[in-house]
Amino acid sequence: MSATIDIAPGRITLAGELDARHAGAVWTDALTAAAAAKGKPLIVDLTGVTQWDTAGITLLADIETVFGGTPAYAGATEQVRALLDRVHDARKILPRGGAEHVASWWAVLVSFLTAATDGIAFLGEAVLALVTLPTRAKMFRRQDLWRAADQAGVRAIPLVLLLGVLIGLILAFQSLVPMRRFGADLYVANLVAISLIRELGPLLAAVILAGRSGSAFAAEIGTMKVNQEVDALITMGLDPVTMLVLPRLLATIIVMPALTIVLDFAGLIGMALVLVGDGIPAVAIANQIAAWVVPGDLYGALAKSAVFGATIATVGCRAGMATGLGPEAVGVSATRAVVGGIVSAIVLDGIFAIVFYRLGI
Amino acid sequence: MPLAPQHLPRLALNGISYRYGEIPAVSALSLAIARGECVTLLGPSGSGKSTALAMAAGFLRPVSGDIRIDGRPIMRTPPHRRDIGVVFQDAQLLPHLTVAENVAFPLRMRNRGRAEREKAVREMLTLTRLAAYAARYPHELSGGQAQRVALARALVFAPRIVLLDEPFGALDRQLREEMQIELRALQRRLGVAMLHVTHDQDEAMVLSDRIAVIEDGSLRQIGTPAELYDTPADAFVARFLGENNRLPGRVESIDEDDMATVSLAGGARIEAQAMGVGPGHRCIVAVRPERIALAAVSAEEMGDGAFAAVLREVGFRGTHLRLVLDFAGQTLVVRRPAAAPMAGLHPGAEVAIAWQPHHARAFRPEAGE
Ligand SMILES: Nc1ncnc2c1ncn2[C@@H]1O[C@H](COP(=O)(O)OP(=O)(O)O)[C@@H](O)[C@H]1O
Ligand SMILES: [Mg+2]
Repeated sequence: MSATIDIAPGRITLAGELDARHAGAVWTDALTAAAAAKGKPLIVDLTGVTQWDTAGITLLADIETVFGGTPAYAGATEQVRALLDRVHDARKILPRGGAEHVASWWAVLVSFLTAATDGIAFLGEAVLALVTLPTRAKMFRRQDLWRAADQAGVRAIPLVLLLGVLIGLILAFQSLVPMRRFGADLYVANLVAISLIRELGPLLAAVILAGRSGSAFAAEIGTMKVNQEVDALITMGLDPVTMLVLPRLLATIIVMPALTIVLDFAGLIGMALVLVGDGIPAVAIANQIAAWVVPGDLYGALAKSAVFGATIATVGCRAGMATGLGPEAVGVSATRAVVGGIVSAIVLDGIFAIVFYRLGI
Repeated sequence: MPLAPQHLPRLALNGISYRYGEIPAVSALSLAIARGECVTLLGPSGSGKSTALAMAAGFLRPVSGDIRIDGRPIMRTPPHRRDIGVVFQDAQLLPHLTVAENVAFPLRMRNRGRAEREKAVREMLTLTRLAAYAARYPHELSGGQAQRVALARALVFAPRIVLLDEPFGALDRQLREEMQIELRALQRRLGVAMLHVTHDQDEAMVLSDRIAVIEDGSLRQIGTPAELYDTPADAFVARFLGENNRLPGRVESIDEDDMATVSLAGGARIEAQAMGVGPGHRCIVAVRPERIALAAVSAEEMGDGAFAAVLREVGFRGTHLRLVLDFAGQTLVVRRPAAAPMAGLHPGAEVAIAWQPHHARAFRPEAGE
């Protein structure tokens, strides 16, 4: 005996052994029929089924999936219903649907690419505004530049110092334990200094900038947008990119390398605290760093941090300019600025890693 | 033969539409504003007024349609080259400039000579009664003064048209009414065309030569304030402009003069002008409160076409009385001059009411009614 299927409009009749060995024979036909019945009433007649196992139940579950709902079951025993209930419960916990995953990944990719091209276009606009600034010199207000630099730079210093020292402490402490096993305590200085100066300094400064200033830029410009201030500038013939974006963009390009240096310095202090506590003389630490860290490391990192700063400012201002309507709109823009700023800084860091490697820096 | 320029509309919106993402905000809106004319786009909040104005100003690009100023297509012209003045709900003055410098700003951007600038600014400040404040900074001004500066700035360069988006929305009521009258006088005097946006029907009535009623992004009716008030084209316009009684009923028949016989939900049978309804249709009959005659007599005594009603409330409104009645299970509002005799008109009194059939209009119910 094996499994059989009989298909009539509005009715699928299954019979025989619906188990792992035989269910496969009717699987495709059953699903095709179920898909065709989608949106119409459907009866699945199980009266003639003599043998069940989980394969049969899975077939029913799949029928439900393509049918898009629960059909009416005729002749289902108590056991079959109980098993079906368990399958339903399990699906609630673990929603499957591979196709949806593909679609959502696709959506994520598309939205990422859209955001990236959007951002690049906006950056282009800003660069154009910068290049042609002499023709609009009067619109560029230096006070705005200094205010943004103060907000993004000077006021961030306490946080940068604190975070730098903590990161230095943590890195040194964590690497000291394994390094000591090899008697390489002193090399913790190289390890931490190199990773701080080349990678962590610019990246952490970028995270701080995105969180503090990227969001602030988006909120400031977004509020102006909602209050029609941006439209007012445009009607007066004033260029919002020159007036609102350029000062913030330039300010971050100026302050980011400075913040990175402060963060590096604080991190090295934190590391030194741990190593000195471990009994290594400060002079030895200093010599070790001086011998291993080359100026190129620092210059590369500072260039990188300036690029991160420009990106975060661009993403933030762009989010502000794209602010929609309604009470949450400004908050949405600020969130977008932070997430977008951090993601693009990390992506750029990866690109820098490849470029620096190729260039041998 | 093409029209001579002076006969072309100053501003023409030809079937413009806009969508935010997938959400339509303005659908195929067409509107023409003549020289020297003030047209108000009137509609409830969210009806798409600001979006329409933003397209006219050039902040938003329509997804379809065409915009012309004096017959010239301007869709590719950036806002500051369209030769339009714009006034927003907030004055949006430049904070580091004085009143005079703010007003002079559009002239500076247009590279007008110093003498011309000073003359134009002085004239405009006098016209807007701001001459005494010329040297003040925006933070030293009241809301009404700041808005006057914004008006002066929008008018000073003699633009082809001025666009105003709820210009007095942030002011308190009394100031708002003063400013409306001032603006109307100024507009008439300068002969400038205006497209004005508001959700305030009184403001629309005071300011406009014509009113365009918009709902859900599409135009419902356009006409003079009196036309819209007396002959609304649909139930929405009838409800939105001025107070109106709304009596639900069903059309029984329609005669050759387009007069419908309507049986009201409460049982009474009345005559009303048929506005796009047919026999058997549900309808809403609208009658203005001031069109209803009322007397403390029985319906038979009042004569043919009169109905009995019970007076529930008498409200004093200064120039008039607002009477609330129970009529055939519905609430009916009647307005009469405060000076009219009130004998027998007290809450609880049985009264008779009547109106001319052509003052009642039977509309199709609005969506969702
Ligand atoms: N920036 C925007 N993003 C998304 N939706 C918007 C935006 N601006 C307006 N809308 C929507 O478009 C419709 C029309 O808005 P608007 O033109 O501002 O109306 P009004 O000025 O008449 O109040 C509303 O539903 C509003 O929520
Ligand atoms: Mg609006």
